[in-house]
Amino acid sequence: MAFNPHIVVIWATALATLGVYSVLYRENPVSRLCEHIFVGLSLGYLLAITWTENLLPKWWSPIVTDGQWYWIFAPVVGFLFYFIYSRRLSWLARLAMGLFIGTAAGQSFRGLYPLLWPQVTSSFKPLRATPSVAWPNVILHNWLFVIVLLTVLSYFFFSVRPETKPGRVLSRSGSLGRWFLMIAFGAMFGNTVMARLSLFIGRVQFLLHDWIGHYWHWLAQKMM
Amino acid sequence: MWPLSLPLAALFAPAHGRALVWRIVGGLAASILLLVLANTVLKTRGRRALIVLVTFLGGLFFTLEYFLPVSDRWLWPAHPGSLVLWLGVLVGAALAVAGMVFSTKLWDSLRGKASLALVPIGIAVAIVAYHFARRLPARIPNTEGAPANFLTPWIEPAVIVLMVVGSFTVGLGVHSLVQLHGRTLLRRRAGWFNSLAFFVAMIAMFAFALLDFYTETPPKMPAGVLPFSKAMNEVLFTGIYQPLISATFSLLAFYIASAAYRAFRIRSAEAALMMVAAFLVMLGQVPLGSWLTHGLPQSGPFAFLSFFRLERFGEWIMAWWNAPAQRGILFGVAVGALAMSLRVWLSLERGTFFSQQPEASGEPSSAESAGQP
Amino acid sequence: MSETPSTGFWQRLEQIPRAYIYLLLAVVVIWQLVFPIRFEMSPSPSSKGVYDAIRAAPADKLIILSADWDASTEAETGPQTTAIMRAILSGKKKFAILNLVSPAGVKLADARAVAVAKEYNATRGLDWCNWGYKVGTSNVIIGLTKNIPGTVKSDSAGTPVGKIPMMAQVHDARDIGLVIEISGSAMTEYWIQFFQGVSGTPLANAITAVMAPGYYSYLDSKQLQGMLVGAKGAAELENLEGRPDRAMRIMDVQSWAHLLILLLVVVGNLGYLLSRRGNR
Repeated sequence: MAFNPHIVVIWATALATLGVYSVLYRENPVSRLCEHIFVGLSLGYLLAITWTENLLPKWWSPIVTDGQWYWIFAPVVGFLFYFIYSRRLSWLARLAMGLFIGTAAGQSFRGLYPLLWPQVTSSFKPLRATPSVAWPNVILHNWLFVIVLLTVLSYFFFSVRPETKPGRVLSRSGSLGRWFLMIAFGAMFGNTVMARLSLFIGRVQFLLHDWIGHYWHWLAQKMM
Repeated sequence: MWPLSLPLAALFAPAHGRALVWRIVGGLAASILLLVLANTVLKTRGRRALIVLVTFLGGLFFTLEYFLPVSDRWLWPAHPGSLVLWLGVLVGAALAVAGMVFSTKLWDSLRGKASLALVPIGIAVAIVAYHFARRLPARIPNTEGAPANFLTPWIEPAVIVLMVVGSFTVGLGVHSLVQLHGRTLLRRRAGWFNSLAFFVAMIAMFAFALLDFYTETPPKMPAGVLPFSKAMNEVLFTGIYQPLISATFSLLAFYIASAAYRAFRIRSAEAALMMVAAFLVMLGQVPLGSWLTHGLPQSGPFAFLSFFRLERFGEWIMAWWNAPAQRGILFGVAVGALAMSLRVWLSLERGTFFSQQPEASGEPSSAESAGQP
Repeated sequence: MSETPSTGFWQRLEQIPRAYIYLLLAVVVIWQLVFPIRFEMSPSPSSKGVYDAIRAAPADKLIILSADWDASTEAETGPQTTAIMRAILSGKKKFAILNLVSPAGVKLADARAVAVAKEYNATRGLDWCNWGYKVGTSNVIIGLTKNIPGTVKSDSAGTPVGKIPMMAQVHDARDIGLVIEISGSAMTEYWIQFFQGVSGTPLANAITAVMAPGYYSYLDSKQLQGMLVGAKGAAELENLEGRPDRAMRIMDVQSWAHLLILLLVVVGNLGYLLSRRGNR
């Protein structure tokens, strides 16, 4: 029974969107239903894609097509995780978790150097004017960068006692670092607002252009 | 030639038909036997030692592959460092096995004597591993100048194995949700119809997604018309699933507007500074902000005023105030993450993962035996 | 002592019901979508970096688009993906889509690629392909540095990599000219750690605006060649390509929505400060 799903998709999208937005007025059965359907669809899709994208090409096909029978040990290790539900045998689950946790820890060492070392080296900025960089730029950029970085780092130093002389210096520098952190947090707030608004604008674009605009062509034209 | 090489090679060779089935059954049986043996023989300390060893080896592989010097030779004739490494691994594995055995304190029981079987098994595993290492070719294949050591060719198989094993854990999430909604549905608790909707959605999405994958669209279909399974998959995925995600996250726009109005109060100088920075960055990001200061000249004697154009000023705040602050935060987080990774890798962390369950036979957990409540 | 509700003007200014704020936001957005007032935008250095990185990528090497996003961030990452694909195809380069985070994102990115490919007469399998969703995140990226066919195995439709013509000369990281990470999560760090830092392949990213502040330090250290910041970055790339499109429409609306948010903050603080002064 083949059919063209286009119109059904548009109406389903619109109704799903409006169903979720109904929660803005107040909590209601429609929005709850939408939440549960969302979770169900998400889980069903994850299961399907885990089979088609990973297990089928990397596990099932090597066994059935290429005869690589030793892949049968993979689900044995994978199913060890399910022993977490047994009080007596939960140590087997920890065995499998240990493998993944150890792997993740090992990989984190691998990743630390390439991630951080360029950050460290690029923090050493030239603090004198050069033929290509004039003094105003050096002060507004490089000096500012180094001062902000050092004061923010000093804010996170908790292992020096504040009553000692170095502690007092760190404490003052840490206070300055906190001010600079406020600027960074303000910048983060500004970006967060833009991100959240974009999501809503995208939804309204659909409702106006693709749903209502499908029947009211004037509106679709205005939004082109 | 090593005596074991032929049978081992034959055992792990690809098989088809009945031979494949027998090998699969045999492999499963051997795995179950090994797990039963491990569960029977190993007690609390032995289990912890095994978990610690597996955690350590899991991390050791990737760490070593990254830190070991680049070498284009295999183990034997070997770079001296590699030989020391292999000897160290062998000795370490043997000591770990011996530690498991000696920690059982069951010398007088049958189980204690049976556990001695682990020692020759451990040594046999080490010998087989050394045998395989010796049989590998002298030069690492297919590297062609790419930096590599003798562990590098094993990265790809290890990665694929981890991916496949990880895929089997998806059932944990399924079980959790099915149990929760199943109870609600079967006991007809309030909102049971929502749980019914959950199950219907899950089964429908799974079924139609699979059908979509395995169904091919017949060539002579009118434009836009799809077979039923593909059309239903389209309705469920594109028509319901995607918009539900988008709409749920887009609610945040309303919440941030409301939160900005209600909660963003200037109660201190620091809050005022944060607000000023937020204002400047927000205006600098939008075209309206660019328009507000577009009159500031970009050339001529007053070109320096272009620095105060909102889009440039906002970018300056992001690149020269925000960036170093974020870097400072990153350094702090990275040092903490490094310390934590090291503690987890060496199993020095105490917590849910490493806590021991009391044995059914009454044997105390390691915490209790250490005198802790 | 019983409390009387605040009824002064400044107190009421501080207590505008939520419903009115939501309605006001919706009205502003709908108004600007239907009757937009457009202001010009100039590209930021970070967006220009992405554009230059795409232009500088060698034509005989593949560009990986790690489209690690799904419908939750589509309003930002969708236009970013489209703008990047246009920039790549207009430069007659090839790209492969990959998704490491969300299986749902595979189809979304694929649909955009199909639409953009039509504009540039690009053919799937020759000019672009979709490797699909791969489980394993860092493990997949590590695998890609050493052996791309072995890690990818097949594309999103199940076609073995060996049967995709454009993949014939792609073996490992040395055959990749640029990686562009598009996501709303912290995936860029994985690419820096396990791909860019190891192989030196240029890396750029396109992320949601909420994640952007944390990545400016990577721009400074040149670990990232460029960065598209949310819909703004997508709009800037569209302008650089000379094709203002959906992202630019979003930015038209953003101007007035931002103004509304700023006004709300000012009004809320005015009400707070002046009502406190009135109580003294």
